[in-house]
Amino acid sequence: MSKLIIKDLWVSASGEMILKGVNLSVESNETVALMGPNGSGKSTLSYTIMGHPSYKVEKGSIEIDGEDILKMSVDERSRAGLFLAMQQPYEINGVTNRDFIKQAMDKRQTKDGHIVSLYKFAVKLDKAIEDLHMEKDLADRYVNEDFSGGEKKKNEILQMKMLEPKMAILDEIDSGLDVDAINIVSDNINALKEKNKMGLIVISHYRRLFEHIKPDKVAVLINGTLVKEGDSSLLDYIDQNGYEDLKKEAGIEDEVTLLGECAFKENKK
Amino acid sequence: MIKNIFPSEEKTISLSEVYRIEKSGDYTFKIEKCIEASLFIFVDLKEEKVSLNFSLLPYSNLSLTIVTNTVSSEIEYNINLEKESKLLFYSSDYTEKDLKTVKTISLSGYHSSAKVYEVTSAKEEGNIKGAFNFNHNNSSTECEGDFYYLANGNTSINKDVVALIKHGMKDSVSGEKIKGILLSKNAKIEAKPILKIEYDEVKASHGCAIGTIDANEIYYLMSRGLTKEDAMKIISKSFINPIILMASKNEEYKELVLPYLLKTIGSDKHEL
Repeated sequence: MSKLIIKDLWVSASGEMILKGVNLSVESNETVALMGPNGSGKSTLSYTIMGHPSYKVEKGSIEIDGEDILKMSVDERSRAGLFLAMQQPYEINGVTNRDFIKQAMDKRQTKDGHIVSLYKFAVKLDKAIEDLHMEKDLADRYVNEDFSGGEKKKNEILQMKMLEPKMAILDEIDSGLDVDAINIVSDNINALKEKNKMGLIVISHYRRLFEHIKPDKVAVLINGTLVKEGDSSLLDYIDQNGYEDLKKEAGIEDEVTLLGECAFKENKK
Repeated sequence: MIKNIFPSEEKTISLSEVYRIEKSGDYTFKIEKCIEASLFIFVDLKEEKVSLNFSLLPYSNLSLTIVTNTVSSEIEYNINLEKESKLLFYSSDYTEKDLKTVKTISLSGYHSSAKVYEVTSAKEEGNIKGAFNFNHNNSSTECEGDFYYLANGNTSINKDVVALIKHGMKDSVSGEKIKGILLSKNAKIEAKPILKIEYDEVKASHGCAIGTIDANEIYYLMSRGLTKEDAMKIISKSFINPIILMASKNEEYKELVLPYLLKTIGSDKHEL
């Protein structure tokens, strides 16, 4: 049983405070849907959990199974069982998927204390590629280079299937995917969750994804603050009403920008 | 079988051959008319000076791989391509100390073409100077070059890549891309892609980028569990992968040069 706990998290980037006291928890076999308008801080939260150097934690804590992950390097966080499927995965010319994933798996030991054998790795990779309906040559192509938007997203899920994390954050994994691909990707995520009791934070703008990946909890992030948590009925509410009422309820006004000699920019809560 | 070749000797190459060169001198290789050949050469020098000369006769096709491991040496390559001949050239230079290289490809025959992939690096205190010249001496000639310079420790790399398209060499195409990777704070790379164009009806392009390994690439690999050192190593290895792939076409040659190729990226064992 694993648990990721985020407490009173304040995060800045380029001198601007983006997350303002976020509290969120997810445990094994639980799926949290994280929603919010553009620019509300969802990706900042996911990158912060995964230790991206562009984001500075000003205050608060993030723990997995009682361990402070803010003290861990990015690779240690991964090996502790965290995984981030990125909204815009990076391309790495000259490094093949096969080499990269094998090396990532070699950094993790199997239950009997050994690294996975080359044969078992190859079988598992082939199966994962097949499960995701990906082209067979994908393993020997360079990481994300010349991949379509959909292939990149599937490649993130492929890596997740190979690394089998305890907790995964899926940042807009549905963007760039057609209807059939959403079904395939969702089936693979659900199967891995079922198999390993993986905890999930799933970020998406669209209700459609949550018809496939059923959330246990829905959290709404607006202007860097979690303004509402609820069950899946909150998805219906957002689908019908948008975020305006939730903003008003939380006392959040739109950013005001006046231009002129005495121009100023202010966020009000 | 790995063959030795002696200074001033001239070899005519057929099919696939592997040579090891360890002494100063001039060496000449000839590819006969209409022959398709693969030539693998390992140059292992300490305070020596060698000149390698290659002559590709009309309609010949050469796949050439040269890996060098040197200490304070000078290397000169002169490759001449005659009518309709084709060259695919993979070159890796590694030096423990100073190295001076001058490599010249002369596209002398009509419709001759050359494709080059070069990786250069030095040990912590190495100093590399050199030039790579493409001379378009006939019309409809084509060359394309990718150059990777890896600088570690206090290494200094100073290279010019020069393409010369002479007057009247109509429909010739020349392209050169340089990528310099600084692997430490004190490393220096000065690289210049130079185009000398003396005629209008040609196509030419060049590009040069020098910097550290992209921080986002390192982050991405680390987010999957690789340490920063592993991430840098796997990215550095990507630069020599094409040469390893070519060298792998001859198993004996691969076994011979792999340790030196891995030295190029600061690794002494094949981990993948």
